[in-house]
Amino acid sequence: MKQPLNIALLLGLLAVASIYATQKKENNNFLANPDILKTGIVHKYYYSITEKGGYTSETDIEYRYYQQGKTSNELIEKRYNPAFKQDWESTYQLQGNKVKLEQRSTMNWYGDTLNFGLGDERIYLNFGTDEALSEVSISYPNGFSRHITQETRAIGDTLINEMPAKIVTRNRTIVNTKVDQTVDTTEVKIKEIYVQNFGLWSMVGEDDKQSYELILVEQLLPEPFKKMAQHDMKRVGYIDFDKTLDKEKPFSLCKRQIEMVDYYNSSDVANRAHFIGGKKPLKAYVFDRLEEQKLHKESGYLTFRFVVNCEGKAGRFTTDQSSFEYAQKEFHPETVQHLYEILKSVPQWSPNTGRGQIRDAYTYITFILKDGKITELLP
Amino acid sequence: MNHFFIKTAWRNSESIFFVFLSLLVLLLVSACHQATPLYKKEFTPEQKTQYAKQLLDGVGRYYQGMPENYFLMQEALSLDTSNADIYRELGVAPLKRGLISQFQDGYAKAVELNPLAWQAWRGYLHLYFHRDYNNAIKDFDAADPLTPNFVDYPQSQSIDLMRGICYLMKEDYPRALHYFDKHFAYESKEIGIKYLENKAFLYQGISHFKMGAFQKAIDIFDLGLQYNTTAPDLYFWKAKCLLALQGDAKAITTTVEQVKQQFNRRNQRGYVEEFYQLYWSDVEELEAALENL
Repeated sequence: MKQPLNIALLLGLLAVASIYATQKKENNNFLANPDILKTGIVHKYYYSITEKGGYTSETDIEYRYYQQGKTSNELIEKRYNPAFKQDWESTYQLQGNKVKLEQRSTMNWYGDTLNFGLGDERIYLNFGTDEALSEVSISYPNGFSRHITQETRAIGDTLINEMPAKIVTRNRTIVNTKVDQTVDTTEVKIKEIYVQNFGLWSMVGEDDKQSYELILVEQLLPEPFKKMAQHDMKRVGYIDFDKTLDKEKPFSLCKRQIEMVDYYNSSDVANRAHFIGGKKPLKAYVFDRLEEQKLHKESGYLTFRFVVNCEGKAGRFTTDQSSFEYAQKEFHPETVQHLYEILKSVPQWSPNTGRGQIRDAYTYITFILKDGKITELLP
Repeated sequence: MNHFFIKTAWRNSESIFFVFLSLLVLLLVSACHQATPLYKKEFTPEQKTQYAKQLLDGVGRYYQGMPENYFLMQEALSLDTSNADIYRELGVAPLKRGLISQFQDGYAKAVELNPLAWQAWRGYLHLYFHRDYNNAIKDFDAADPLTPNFVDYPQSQSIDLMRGICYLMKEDYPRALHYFDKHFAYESKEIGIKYLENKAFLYQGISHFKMGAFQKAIDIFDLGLQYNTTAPDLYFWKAKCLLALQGDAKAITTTVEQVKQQFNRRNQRGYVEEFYQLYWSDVEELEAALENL
């Protein structure tokens, strides 16, 4: 009795395996595997732009994080820049061979989120034979608007690393307007390849000025990606206001710290943040107040980095202390304190002006000291 | 006993066989379900070099010194650690923002990997950004033999002119003049004296002034003014020489007037001040001295 039962069990299992294998052959999913999407998958792409004529090619890094939404038919795509800052989010509905755009938003430089307007036609992708149409638009606070329409068609099959893949073409029209006036219209022809159970493999495109290329470089799991994104790295010269010499003293910015410029961000030298009158009167101001014994025979570069706000007030001082060999060093605390107090006492600085605005700016003054004498000031 | 034992053993082995077979099938089925390994592209050496260069060019899409730039450069370095330009770019934002202790992080490696491209360039940065004349001279002297019979122009400025400025600022005027004269002779021969920038005359003249050779300095400033008629720095130093020689008050006044008229055309630099930067207060001081003549 037991032997036929075992054989039946074996045959049953073989049948399951064979059904599974057959199903796999007929799989029409050209996005990531649904099982993988439950936990999410991140694709890292190189996105390259080449000027027509081939003089310059630039490559950027783009991360695309795909994850199942509230239901198994909902797909969420988040895009991140090379520093892992999210700058794009879309929600799609999976309808058989079709991928329908449900929502799209973009995060601009300063963290604000702007939603795209969606047209009646919203089929972003169709792996079947009929043409898909989609239409989106976005308006920016500066009056600039962009309207994008595209016709998408799956034109054939191919193999990528022996895996079935679909070739999809897009004709994209981008119309840029500024205060209801069309600024320019760009026609972009795109070819994308989607690999079965995998997703977007590559893209090439071109318009009349540039050609584009997107290639998949690496897949990452969500957890390692999230760890990479937790770097907390700031721009070069960022000042942490809580770690400054004058952190207890009142000081305010005119705008957010993220919008601050550098002292030199102006085409006209006179509009850069600086001591009023330039370095010559600054030297006179310093030497009038200098108590040389407080320089303690020090040598090296003692730099004070600080903010000159749009009202010309200086605050949030920090230091960079270097030897003449360009190695970090520590100056005598009294030297640091004395020179800080002199700079802090300057009643008024000339703020940075650019793009028609007076702006908060990171600024610096370096004292070059040799054997307890100030020999020069920078910049 | 034996018969029973054999029968039981056979039954057991039969069961074990089927269990094993079943497990094998299950294993095969589960293997079909197993997640595909994560993909990672293999680049050819040529692709690595090319993408490293393109990633470096891609940093221009973001404001200099932003984390985006840093990650693009790290990606580029992961593809090609021999690209000196990447290390150099890493050093630019700290340089511009006064982070002197971080300056060498990028530039030292860039110079090590490609001295032809970056040694003299670093000298230029030492000179203008750090006023570090000794290290500037070291870099210029090390770079010069790399291009025999050829004058280097990092950031479009002759290393001989810059070596002259280094020695001028070190108050070693004879050596400063050696390099200014060399620069002057080479440029006059190669491109023509009328294309020389006013600084070539200015710093050569100032070196003579510092040595007390006022008439010699005036001759040089006058020569410069023939080709740079609107250079207030040349007029200013000529006026100082005339004053030092206690020359004709009218001639001095006329020269000072030229300084005032052309003041907005004075030499200026973007990130840092010029050497011997001209100020309006300098002109006022000159006028005050003139009154006491």
